[in-house]
Amino acid sequence: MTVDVLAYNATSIDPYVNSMVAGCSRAGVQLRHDPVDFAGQKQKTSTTLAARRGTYDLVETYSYAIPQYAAQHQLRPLDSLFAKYRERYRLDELDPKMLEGLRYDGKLYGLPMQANVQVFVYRKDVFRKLGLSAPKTFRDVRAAARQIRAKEHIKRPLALPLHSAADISTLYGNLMRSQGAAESVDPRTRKPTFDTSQSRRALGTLRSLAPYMDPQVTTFDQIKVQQQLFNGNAAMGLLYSGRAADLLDTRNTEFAKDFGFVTAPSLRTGGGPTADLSVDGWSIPWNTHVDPDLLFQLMAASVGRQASAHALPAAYPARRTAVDEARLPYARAVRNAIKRGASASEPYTWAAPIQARTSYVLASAVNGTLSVGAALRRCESEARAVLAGGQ
Amino acid sequence: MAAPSLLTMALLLGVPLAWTLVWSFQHVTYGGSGTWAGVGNYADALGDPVFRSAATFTVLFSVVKTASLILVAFSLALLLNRVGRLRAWFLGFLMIPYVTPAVIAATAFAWLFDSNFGGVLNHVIEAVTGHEFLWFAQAWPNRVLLLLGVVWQEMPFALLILLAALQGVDESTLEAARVDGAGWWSQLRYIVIPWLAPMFRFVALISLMDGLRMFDMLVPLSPSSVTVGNSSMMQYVFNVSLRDGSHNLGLGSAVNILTMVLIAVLLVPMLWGQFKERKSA
Repeated sequence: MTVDVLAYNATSIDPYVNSMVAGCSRAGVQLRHDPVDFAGQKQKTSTTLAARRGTYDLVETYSYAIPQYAAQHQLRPLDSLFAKYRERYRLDELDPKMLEGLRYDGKLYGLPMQANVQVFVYRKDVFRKLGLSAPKTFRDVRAAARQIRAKEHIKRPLALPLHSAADISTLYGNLMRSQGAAESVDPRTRKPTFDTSQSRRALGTLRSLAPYMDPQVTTFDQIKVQQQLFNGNAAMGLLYSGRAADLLDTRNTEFAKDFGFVTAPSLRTGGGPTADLSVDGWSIPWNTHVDPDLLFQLMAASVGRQASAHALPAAYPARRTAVDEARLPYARAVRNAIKRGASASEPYTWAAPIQARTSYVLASAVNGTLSVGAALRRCESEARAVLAGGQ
Repeated sequence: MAAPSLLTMALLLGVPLAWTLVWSFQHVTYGGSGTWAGVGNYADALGDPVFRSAATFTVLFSVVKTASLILVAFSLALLLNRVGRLRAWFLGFLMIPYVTPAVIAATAFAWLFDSNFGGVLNHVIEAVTGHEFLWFAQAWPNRVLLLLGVVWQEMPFALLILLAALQGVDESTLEAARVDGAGWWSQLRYIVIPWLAPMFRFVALISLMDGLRMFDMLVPLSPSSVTVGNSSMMQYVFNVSLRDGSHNLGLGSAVNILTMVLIAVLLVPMLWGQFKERKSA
């Protein structure tokens, strides 16, 4: 029997895939996995799940995508299988917050392997020299940026992933959640939240940071933020933890030993961190003909202790016993963020379509083409159109 | 004899085209059977300012790019036509962007202007002008960058066609013109350019079609294309049909049909010209 596995290639995902494919191909079961990038995986997932008979038997999914697929009954709920194999595969060691991130409507649709949380990266040498401490709020970030610019002559000391196609919506959403507000729609009233005081503060904060960033920041994805930190063009930034390990590699940057990691700042004192918990995991498509029992065991084996240990330091594993702070310098920042409320994005079907229609508008406010108020009014109207079904 | 080709054409072109046409009148998402939407998708597309901006930019960019491409390729072809033994070397060098996959060539080109990745040309331009250009985040600098990148990538094809055509210009006609006292410009204007006219039309035809279908070059050269107003119609199709949270295949199909209509409108006069020329020849 052949089991076809769909999972994108990344340093944080490969150990889990390799462990599954190499370790479980035996006794008449052959696992097949072809290399694919993240964009390719997203498209293949959409098409395989939509077909009557899918091409893949196991798919790598993530917390942001689960609601869309689960709402269309394209994934198999895993609760009964989880209960059945809880002890054999020590599934209690999996982080409950990460399990929560792969739930939709109370049901579990994925088995978590690893998580990405946004962490604040800063140059310890620069901060030490200027007598600065790691920022706790964005007001501290602005103050630090002013000092670094004046005294260290780093013209644009801050780098944030604000790419107009997606990243900017993530950061805006995290700023909303830092204030305890819903990212785009209040789930109780089903009304958009773009026309609120919290949204004005969130987008206003991003706009207020613009003078300290590269003027082309709305074209910056995670890789460009990394590049700014590698080059020394920026002395601080926000990155997903999965990207943080690259900063510690001396082959990438001369500042590898100078980077420090702390929990992402809050919008205001006492608020939650500006971070979300993006969980990667395994799911079973409804349209596979392979025995779900077998598939679940393959998934459970791939998130086992050994594979999780191999994933360090590229990944922050879901298996809590595998988290080794000595090998994960950003582990404390991630753990604190989760403890202080960082959770998966809104588990609602409207989240992705609203993001697709508003991210460009938010970018226009950051680069000054639109005022904050005008941009939010347009986002509000786009969100209403999505909720009304006028996609 | 024609049956296998007709069958292949029907399967590879006819069937997808028919499905696209049907879907353009339906609300369709992945795996769904589709529900009748009438002309709703067309109305949505034409009423969407993002689509109108993408369509306007695509058409204008295609026209400007085609004119620039012909000008640059023809100038280089004239120069290369005078080169002797080293011509093959020059040609080989100029072919590099054409044989490189478009998205890779565009990424490499973008890095020349991106200070995050060295940005050699950006530094030179800033040093010379004393001005900081936001090549990726401002509309006009980005349009210039796009034009340079696309012309650089597509130029070798046009160059090859025009160079081959130049070598076929009747030498005795040129000689007679020289004897009659015609200078370089007169020879070019009254003999060479009219001789090459069918090739100019052919290059323009291909270039316009490429321009109207532009997608992959935009990804590295204009990462913020929608925000700065430099998005293309094919990018619009991708955004409404394939992006996370936007699997509107009906709307994407309607835009594809509109694109085909637009291509036909723009190209029919040129194709008609080619047809008349062949008939008279």
